[in-house]
Amino acid sequence: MKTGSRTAAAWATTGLVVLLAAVGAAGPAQPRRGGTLVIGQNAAPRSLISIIDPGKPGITILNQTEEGLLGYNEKGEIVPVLAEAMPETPDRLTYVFRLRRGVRFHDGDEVTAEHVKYTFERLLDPKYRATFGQVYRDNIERIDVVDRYTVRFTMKQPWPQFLAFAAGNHPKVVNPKVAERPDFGTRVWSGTGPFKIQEWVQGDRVVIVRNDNYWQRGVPYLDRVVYRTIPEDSTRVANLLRGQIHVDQDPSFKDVAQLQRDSRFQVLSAPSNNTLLITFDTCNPPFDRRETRRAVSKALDRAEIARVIFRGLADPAGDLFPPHHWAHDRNIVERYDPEGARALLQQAGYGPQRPLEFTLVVDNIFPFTDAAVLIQAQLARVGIRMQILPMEYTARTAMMRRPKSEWPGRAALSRITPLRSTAFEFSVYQYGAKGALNYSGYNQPGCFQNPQVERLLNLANSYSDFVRRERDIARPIWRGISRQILEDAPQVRIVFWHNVDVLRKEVMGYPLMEGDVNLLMRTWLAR
Amino acid sequence: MLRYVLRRLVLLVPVLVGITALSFSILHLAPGDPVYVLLGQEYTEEAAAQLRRELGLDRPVLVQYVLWLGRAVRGELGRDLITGEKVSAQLAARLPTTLLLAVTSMAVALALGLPTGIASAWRRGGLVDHVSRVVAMVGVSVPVFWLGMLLIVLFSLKLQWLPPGGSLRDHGPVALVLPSVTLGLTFAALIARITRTALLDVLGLDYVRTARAKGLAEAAVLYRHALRNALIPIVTVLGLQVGNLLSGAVLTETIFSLPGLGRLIVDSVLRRDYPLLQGCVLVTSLTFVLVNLAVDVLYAYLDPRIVYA
Repeated sequence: MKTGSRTAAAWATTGLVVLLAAVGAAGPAQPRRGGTLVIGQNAAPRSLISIIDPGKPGITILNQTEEGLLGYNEKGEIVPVLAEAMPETPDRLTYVFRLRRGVRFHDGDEVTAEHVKYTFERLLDPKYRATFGQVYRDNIERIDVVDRYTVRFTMKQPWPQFLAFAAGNHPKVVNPKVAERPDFGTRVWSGTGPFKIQEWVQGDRVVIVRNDNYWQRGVPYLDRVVYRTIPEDSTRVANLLRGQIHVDQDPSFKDVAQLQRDSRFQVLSAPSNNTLLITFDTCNPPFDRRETRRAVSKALDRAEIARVIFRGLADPAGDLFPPHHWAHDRNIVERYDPEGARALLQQAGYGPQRPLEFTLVVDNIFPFTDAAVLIQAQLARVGIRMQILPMEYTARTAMMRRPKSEWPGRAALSRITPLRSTAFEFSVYQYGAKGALNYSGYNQPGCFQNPQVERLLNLANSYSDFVRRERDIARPIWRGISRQILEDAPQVRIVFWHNVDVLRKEVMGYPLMEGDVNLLMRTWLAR
Repeated sequence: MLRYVLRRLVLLVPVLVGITALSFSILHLAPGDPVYVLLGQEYTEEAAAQLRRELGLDRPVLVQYVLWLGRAVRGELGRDLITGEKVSAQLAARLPTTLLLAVTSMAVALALGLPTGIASAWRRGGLVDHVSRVVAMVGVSVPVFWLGMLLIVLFSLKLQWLPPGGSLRDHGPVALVLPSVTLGLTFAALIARITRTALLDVLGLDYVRTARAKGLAEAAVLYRHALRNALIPIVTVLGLQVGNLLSGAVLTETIFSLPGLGRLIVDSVLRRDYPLLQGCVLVTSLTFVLVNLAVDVLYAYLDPRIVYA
C-alpha cells in the first residue's frame, strides 16, 4: 500500500491553520540573496542534539540544519524530505523508505540507509539518553538496511502515529562519524539541512550559516541566521525597536498589542497546540468528585481569559482538540455558567457557609501567574476560595510526579503542547491510565474511574491520523471521548493560545505555523 | 604580612568546603532533580531510577558531595548534565563578562559615590548634602530591574545613544555601559552614604582641627588627612559589596542579555544541573573570599598602624 499522496492529501484537508507571512506580495517580486537575519529568542536551547529535548528554541534551530526521512511543509503537511517518497507499507507493521540519492551531510558524506538505521538506533539505545526514546522502543521492533538507499522498519504492533514521529523533531538523520564525537552537540554538528551550525555561544547565541551544497537548489537565500538569547521580554522588544533584531519569537502578549499598531512591524499569529489547563488531583477530596471539578470548569469564563491574558490571540477550549485539528468538534463547548457551577457546588455539599477551598499550584512565569489571578477572581464569583502557589517549573513537574497526597495543592495550572498534533498526544498522554502526562490520576487505581473512556481511547487510537477513511471512523469516537472527558473534568482545558512572532517589515517569506517547525530556507531580507 | 596572607589562603580551604557543602545540600533539598529535566514527558519511575543510577544520583548526598569534592580538588568540575560540555569550559566562557561587569560597576559606584559623599560631608547640611541624601535614598531603594528598564527606554530607545543589551561581541565595551551604570548606581548611593558618615567622623577629630590650624588648604585637609583615614570603613563596605555585585549581576545580565555567570547560575538552578551549579558556586565564592582577603591586605596599606601578626 502506498500511503504517500494519500497521507499528504489527508493532511492537506485537515484544515490545519497555517499563517504564512504574506509580505512577499508587498515587497519586491524576486527574493534577494544574502544578509544576516537576527532572531531574538526568550530562552537558550536546552541542547542542540535533536534526541535530547532541545526545547522550543533548540527545535527551531535544528529544523534549519537537520532533516529527517519525513518532515512538515509550510502548510503543516507531512511530506518526504530525505525519503524520495512517502514509505511503502506492505502491511500495518512494515514501512519501507527509499532515500533520495546524492544528498550529502554538511561534512560531505552521502546519506545512506546505514545513516538512517544509526539515527533511529540512537533513539532506541538507552545509552544515548534520548528524551523521548521510550515511545520508539515501545513500538519499533527492528530496522533493516535493504540496500544502500533503502531502509525497512518493522513495528512490534501497529503504530498509526509512526509517520508523525518520523516527521517530527527527534529522528533527524545524523552521521555517526560526527555524532560519536564527544563534542557532538556543543562544538560539532551533523545534518543535511539548508543551514549548518557555525557556533553555539551558550547563553548568548547560535549562529547558523548557509549550506552551499544543499540538495534543494537555489535555497536558502540568507547567508546567516543569528539566534540571540534575550530572556527579558521588554529587552527583546527594545532590541526589535532599535533594529538590533529582526524577529521577536514569542513576544509577550502585552507587547504584541503595542507592536500591532506600529507600521514598522508585522505581527504574525498562528493557532497552535499550546493548551492552558488545570489538572485536578482526582484521588483526594475535594476533587475526587466530578461535581467539584465540573463546577470549577463551569465557573471559568474562558473568553475573558483569552481576551485579557492573551489579548484575543487564543481560542476558548471545549473538546480535546484545538480548532485547527481534524478531530475538533466545535459543538463541544463549556459555556460560562456560574449558576450551573453554584448548583454543582451545592450538590457536592458546598455553599456560602462551607465554601470550596483549594490551592492551585502555578508555574511562576507568564501566562500562568497572570491567568491564575484572573481564575481566582472568576472562581470567587461563585464562592470558591482559591489560593495561588507559584512554583518554579522543575519543582512543579517534580511535584506532579510525586504521590498526590504530597502535593502542596489539589490542582495545578500548566500547559501542554502536543508537537506532532496527533490525536494520540492530545488524549492518551493526559487521560490514558498509563499516559505519561496523566497527572490527574484519571482511571488510575484509587482515583476517579471511567473505564468506558479508557476503552474508547484504545479504540480511537487504533486509527491513523493520516488516512482520511480512518479519520472518518475515528471522528465520532473522539466526539464521544471529548464529551465524556468534559463531563468528568479530570483536567479543565481553558484556552489554546496562538504562536506569535513579531518581525520587522523588511523580513520576507517568514513562515509561522502551528507547532515549532519554522523553515527559513525561503526567508529573505528586503534590505 | 606574607605569613598572614598564606594563613588566610590556607583558611580558604575550609571556607570553600563549607560553602560548597551548603550549596550542595540546599540544591539537593529543592524539589526535582536533573532526571525530571532529562526524561521530560517520558518520565517513568523505572527510567528515572535507571538514570539516577547512571548519574550517581541514587547515592547518599554526602557520598555524592565527597566524590564531587575529590574531583574538584583534581581540577575536574565535571560536565554539564544536559549538553555534556565541560563545566570548566562554560565557567571560562562566562566568568570574564561577569568580572568585567563587576569591575566597571564598582568603578561607576566609586566615581559617583565617593565625590558625592565627600561633598556631602564637606558641606554638611548644605544643598549638596540634602540633594545627595535624597538621591542616595532613591538609589538604594530602586530595584535593579526597574532602573535597568528605565535606562534602556531613555538611553537606547529615546536618545538612541546606547544599545538595549547584548554581548561584548555585539557592541564592544559599549555593551557594558548601561549594565554597569544600572548596577553601579545602587552601590554609588550606598558608598556616598558610607563616605559621608566616615568622613564626618574623621572631620570632627583633633588632628583635622590641628591641620586646619596650621594653615593647610581645605583640599589638603580633606584629601590628604581626613579621607585617607575615612577609607577603612569604605573599603570594608566595598569588599562586602562584591558579593552583592555578583548577585546583582544575575538580574543585570538578564535584563541586558549579557551572557555572564549570573545567568548561568539561574539556568543551572532551573535545570537542576548539579555539577554546573557547583562550579558556579565555587567560582563566585572563591572570588568573594579572595576580594575580601585583598581588602584586609589593603587595610595595612591604608593604615600603617595595622600590623598582621
